[in-house]
Amino acid sequence: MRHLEQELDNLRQDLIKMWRLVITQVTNTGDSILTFDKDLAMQVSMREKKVDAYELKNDSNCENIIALYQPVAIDLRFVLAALKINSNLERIADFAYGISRILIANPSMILDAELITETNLRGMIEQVNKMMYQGLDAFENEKSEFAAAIFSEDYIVDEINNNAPRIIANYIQKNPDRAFECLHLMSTFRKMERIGDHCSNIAEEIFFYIDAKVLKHSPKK
Amino acid sequence: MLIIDAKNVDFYYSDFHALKNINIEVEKNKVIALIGPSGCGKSTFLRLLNRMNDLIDGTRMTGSILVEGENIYAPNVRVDELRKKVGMVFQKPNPFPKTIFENVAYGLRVNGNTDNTFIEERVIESIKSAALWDEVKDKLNKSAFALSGGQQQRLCIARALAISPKVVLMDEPASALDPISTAKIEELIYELKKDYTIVIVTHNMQQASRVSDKTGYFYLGELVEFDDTTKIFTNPKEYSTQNYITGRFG
Amino acid sequence: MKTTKKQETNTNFGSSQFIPPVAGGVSGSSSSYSSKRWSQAIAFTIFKLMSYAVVAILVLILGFIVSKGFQVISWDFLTKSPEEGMTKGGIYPAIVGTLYLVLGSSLFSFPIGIMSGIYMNEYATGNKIAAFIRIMTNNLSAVPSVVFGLFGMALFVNVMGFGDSIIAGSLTLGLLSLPLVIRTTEESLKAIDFSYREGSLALGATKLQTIWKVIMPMAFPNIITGLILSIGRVSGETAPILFTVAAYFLPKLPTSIFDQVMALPYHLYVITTSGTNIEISRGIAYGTALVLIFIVLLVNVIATILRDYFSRKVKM
Repeated sequence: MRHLEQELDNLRQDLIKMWRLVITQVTNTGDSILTFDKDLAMQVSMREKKVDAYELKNDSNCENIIALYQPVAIDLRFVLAALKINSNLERIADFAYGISRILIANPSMILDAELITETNLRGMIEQVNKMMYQGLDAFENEKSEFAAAIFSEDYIVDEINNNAPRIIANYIQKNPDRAFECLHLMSTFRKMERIGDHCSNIAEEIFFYIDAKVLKHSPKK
Repeated sequence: MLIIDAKNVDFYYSDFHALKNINIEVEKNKVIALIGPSGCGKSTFLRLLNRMNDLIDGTRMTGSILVEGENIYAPNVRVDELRKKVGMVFQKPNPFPKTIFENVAYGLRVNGNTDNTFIEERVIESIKSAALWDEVKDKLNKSAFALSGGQQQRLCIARALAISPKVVLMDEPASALDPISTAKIEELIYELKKDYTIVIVTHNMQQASRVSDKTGYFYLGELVEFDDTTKIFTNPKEYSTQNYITGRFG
Repeated sequence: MKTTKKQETNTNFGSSQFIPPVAGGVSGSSSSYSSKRWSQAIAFTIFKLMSYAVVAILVLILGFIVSKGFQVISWDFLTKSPEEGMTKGGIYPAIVGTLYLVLGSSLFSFPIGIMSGIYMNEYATGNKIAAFIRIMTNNLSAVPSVVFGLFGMALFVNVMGFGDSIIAGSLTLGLLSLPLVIRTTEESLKAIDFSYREGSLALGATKLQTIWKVIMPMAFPNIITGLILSIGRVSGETAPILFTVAAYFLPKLPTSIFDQVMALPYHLYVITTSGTNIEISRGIAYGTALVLIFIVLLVNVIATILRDYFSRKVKM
């Protein structure tokens, strides 16, 4: 294997490791919120540092490859995509961390099971988890068609997120004493929705890397 | 208007089919880079443009190459007139054993210019265009061999510019030079683009990407891909091109 | 020499440190190294001795001639004609005759030789005619000089009717030196990088302009060397002039190119083999040899000076 290929492969491996870690963060966060598992939330919070370390490492790897090897064509697209996927993953991990912090800061918080069912929080969490896996799958197998699914998944996430405020507002009217927990729930929805957006961004980068197509800021079907 | 228009060019060295159906259109005031592995035909094609291959016995060409709309392989074409229009700079700096001034004046003199004031003007102008004036203005009557390799190469460019060509062909002009001299030549190419059309053959892909507007990739005598340089270096159409420019060749 | 050896020894120490400390490995490598070094030292000593031997022989010959010939050299010897059956007097007519022959043969062989050299290297590259000329030229240079003499006599003396004359001798000597002139011209031109020709042609110059203005000035220093060497050869030849120009004894100077002349090599031959009194003439013979050697030497010195001058002019 040539030197550049070796470096690119190292970058790929590190990015995949980070990706797996971030997926674990997201799924653990989802599980902890659904089961009010504070220990799991604590675990997520503690692993956040590790994600940050990966981000720094991947950043400097990308910088070095560009400076030392001046990659072109697919190599260049790979490095550029890796650079952006790296920062998207870091943002995703941040949101997961934020959600876990809510749980840790409010150890006594209990959400009404009925409300969770009505807002379809579980559905949203499952959808986001799925998108995370799809992105990694597409990247590892260099199949842009795998990434294409993410765009439609994101519509489902958006829809759940759009319906949530109304349901939560109704609930608060009926149960004004639960308003505090409800605001936290709303914030969790917002964060999950943002994770979904970042998954879409990652899908765009995968398209750019594999097919050299720029899908940014254009309507996707 | 197209300044160079090569149509269905095939070229043979005796039995060896060196170029296969090459079609290239070059617009005015553009820099065209030709890349490809050794022996792919890129230099051969370059030398067809000023009929330098005429010097080699047993070669044969079919198809047509139009420079400014005229077929340069038509029977009535005078080769020395063509070479005034299409200048050339070679891989190794090859200044003549003459003074710096006479090196640049040479092309004018052999083409029958005797007006010394005109020659002097042209020489100074050409040396300035080749970004060499400040370095040689005090030693125009010194031997060209006293210059450094990079300066010699710029002198050769000045020499080519003196006879006011329309197209300047460069055959790996920086391959024998150090990085600083190479950078100067590359800067110069960018400057010269305003007044000339430049076709450059290079082994250095970074050089091709830095200096050129369009890039042609030759492989085994075929022009595999010819497109905007940005396209070639970010998203080449052909798999073979991508393998070559990313260094996964062979 | 010494420093080189020292460096080699140093590298040996350096490399032996890399070899793992297995006893056999270390001793094996150092013994093979020392045997290598010995064979190298012996070989170079032999080469050195051989080249010294060549110089020694040359010094011996020159010393012999100089010591024997020096005493007869005088102003009179150089400026007077031979007297009393070539046992007394000088060798002036022979010196003049040799100079005439050198000049005459050069006038004939230089233009023809240089032009054919140019033709062969610049115009007829790789074609069959050039290959044929090249083979013929090589054959010509292998022909013994006495055969040239015979041919010269047949063609120039008899058929063309020049008789025994400067022109017949010059043409014969010219023929003799022609292959050398052609070869040196061709080789000198071949040594000029093709890129200079391309550079000139690419500027719209014609082939003739390219040769005349770029290639010849660069090749000239080397061509000069070849020309001078051919002069050296011509001035020392005896056989070709034997039947075409040389006079056994001719105390007066020639008045036209159709006159016979004396020449140094032939004069030397005559007085050592068939003079009126060989014993007495021996001193004159050594003097003649010394003058001949001196002329050849002078020609070589001039050649070197000219070559340096022209190569400096090219490089400036």
